Amino acid sequence: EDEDTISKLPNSYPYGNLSVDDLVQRLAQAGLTDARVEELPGVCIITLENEDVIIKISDASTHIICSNTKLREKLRDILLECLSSF
Amino acid sequence: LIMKNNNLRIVGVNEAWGDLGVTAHNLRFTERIEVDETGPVPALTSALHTLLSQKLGSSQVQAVNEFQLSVADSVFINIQDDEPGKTILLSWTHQDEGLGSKLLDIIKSNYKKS
Repeated sequence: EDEDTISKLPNSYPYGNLSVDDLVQRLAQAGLTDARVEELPGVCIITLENEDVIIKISDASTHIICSNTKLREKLRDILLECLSSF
Repeated sequence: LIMKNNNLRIVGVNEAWGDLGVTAHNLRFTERIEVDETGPVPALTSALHTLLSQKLGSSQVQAVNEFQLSVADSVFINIQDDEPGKTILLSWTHQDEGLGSKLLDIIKSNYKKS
């Protein structure tokens, strides 16, 4: 058992709301230009069809669904740039 | 660690949110892992349960139902039938990044898609 090697602590605690426009702009800067934005009551869904990615954004939470670890880490870093954190 | 009115205090993360007057932004990730398993879903759920219990300790892994497991009460694993194979959906929060990526490595190295 190597339970002890698991770090439960994240390196940042993001807070506040996410600006969808800001996120879409940063995605485009990172070469992800095919973002399709759907505004629904209480939730905004961004689909990156070519990369098989769905990003669900509501007031205090964001959920990234994808099939590629490298891309997920890239999306996470872009998201964290859009949020304040300590 | 919070400094307020020239006093330093150590508080838990959840308490700190209240003191700072901000709302935490909850980040959740779900990765889809396609695997070649052709048997029934409950068989894969059970095999994963055994594998993860061996790697992490059996107290960490719970079967929620025949197609869902939870790890340390915070990471969720769903198994979907996706003929001809299966898709494993691994879901965790930013706070559990260490555990989430470790589980991802374990699952990927044991269930490679050819």
